[in-house]
Amino acid sequence: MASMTWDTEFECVIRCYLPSLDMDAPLDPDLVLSAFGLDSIGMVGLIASLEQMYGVVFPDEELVPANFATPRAAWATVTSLIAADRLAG
Amino acid sequence: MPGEAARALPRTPARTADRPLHSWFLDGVAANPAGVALRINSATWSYAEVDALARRWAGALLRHAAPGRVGVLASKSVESHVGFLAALYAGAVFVPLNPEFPVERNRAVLEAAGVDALIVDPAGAAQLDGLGELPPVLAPRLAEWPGPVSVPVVVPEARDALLGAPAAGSADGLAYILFTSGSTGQPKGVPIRHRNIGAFVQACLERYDVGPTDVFSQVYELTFDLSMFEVWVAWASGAALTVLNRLQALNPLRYVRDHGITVWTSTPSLAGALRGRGTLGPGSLPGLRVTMFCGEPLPVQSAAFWQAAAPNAVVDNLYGPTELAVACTGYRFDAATAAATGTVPIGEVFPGMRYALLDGDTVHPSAGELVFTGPQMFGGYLDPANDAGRFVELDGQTWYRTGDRAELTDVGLVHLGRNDNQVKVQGYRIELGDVEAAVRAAGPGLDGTAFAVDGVLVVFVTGTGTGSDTTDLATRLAAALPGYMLPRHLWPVEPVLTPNGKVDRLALRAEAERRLRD
Repeated sequence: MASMTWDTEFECVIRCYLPSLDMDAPLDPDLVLSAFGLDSIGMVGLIASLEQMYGVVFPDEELVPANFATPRAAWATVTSLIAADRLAG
Repeated sequence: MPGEAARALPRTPARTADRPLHSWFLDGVAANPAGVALRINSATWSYAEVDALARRWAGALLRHAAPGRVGVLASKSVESHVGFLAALYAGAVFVPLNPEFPVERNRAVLEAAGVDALIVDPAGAAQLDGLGELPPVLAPRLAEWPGPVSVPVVVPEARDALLGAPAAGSADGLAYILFTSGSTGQPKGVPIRHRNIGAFVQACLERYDVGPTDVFSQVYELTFDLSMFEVWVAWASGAALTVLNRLQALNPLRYVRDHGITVWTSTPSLAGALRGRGTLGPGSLPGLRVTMFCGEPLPVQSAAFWQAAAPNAVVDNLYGPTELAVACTGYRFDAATAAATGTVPIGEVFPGMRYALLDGDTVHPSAGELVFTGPQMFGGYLDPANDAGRFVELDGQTWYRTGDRAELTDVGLVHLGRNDNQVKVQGYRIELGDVEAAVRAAGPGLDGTAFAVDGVLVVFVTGTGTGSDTTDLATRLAAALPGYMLPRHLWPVEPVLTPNGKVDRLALRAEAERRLRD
């Protein structure tokens, strides 16, 4: 699967944390982000960016590297939290 | 004298380091049985509970495997921390394995260490299929494993506890084996004896005023020996150990506040990154009593930044390689005596340890390669072939050559740099040759020249064609190397050689600095 239905803002923010991914290369959902320049400190920045962009706060239990290891995982983490917020709200 | 009566009260007996590592934990059990020994997110375990679990798991190990070396394939979970104790209670050696590391690397470690039993958590379970022929596998939380279980596993039972009383053990035996980056591309096993790590724990208890009311952060990966400070010094003092994963560890403000952490450990890189983000204001960590920095040179600016954020904390800079049981020199930071090198001194040698500075093979009074001997020194690498050139005889004693250069100043030892190709990136020790070997192994004709520039790992790659797509290579490297060894940049180039035909490292390094600046 080469594409996945995420919004363009999400793709922009992910790419901005991947200094070694070619601009023209597609963002594969299962791309291992750490192989393209995302270290732990970058991941914390990515999380802060996602929290800000989607108006959510990830709980302690969700703050594990595996939840942000690939575009697919990060998108699933974001969308599950937005869904939980909608249910709570 | 009035003071005499107070001194006659019962107090902790003088402790000797010549005893099994788990006996330090048993001191914690005696001091604070109902207190929290371990916290992971919202779950906590008391000292008595951790002790009971370790007995049960140790009994299960003895019933099913009678192991000598227990691999703990777990990611900072209850299995990892209690697993270390269970291995020791069973009279075995523990070998930490990180489930985030590539399965190939973990398989190489299992084989090199001769692991004959495994303790596995739900994260580690995912690797079992790729580890080759498996020894008995202990699965304390089998119900939480993802997917179907394809290998036979053992779940500890209540009756196992009867078998699992802490082993008496000899202080000369091995306590744990850690694997560091090796220059040949093979991970290098460092076996540490009970007496080595015991001498370190004892030195720390003398150095820090810590006890059952303290709360330690547990920031480091358990395959990295700074975690041995966190785990064993916390437990020896009856304090609570609060486990943070590597994302949570980058947010001390939240965790110091929410979990009441009083002892925070950090690599200088972590403090530097927080400083860069500007999120940690002066006085923002008032509850911290101690911060221990270790793992790489500590810039004076980072130490001063941390001291301002944590005004009530003692800021301590420790130095030492894994081979000398975590750390063997230390310096109490004081902004007034910053070293001319811009890094905080590494200070004075620990009690019982001796150091010398070597210029070539002869002792130099004030500058040279740091060598040490004493109770913290390991007895040689798992593979004796790695011992070549690492030891030196002086005064009729054997000393370990660290490969680090230092200078003796009026504020103690100051670290000057490395002799060889070993670098530190975010506190992790990396042999550049190990990264280069992985590039060569990734495909025919490929070769790499690696550098760490200002803490950023980069590799120039030849054999792919200039400007070609490195996606494939990056993916292959991710399958072969632990995350901390992955380069931030892979740059395809035509070979850049000196007139002698060697790779022109100076030119490439300058090019790396230029590219990172632009």
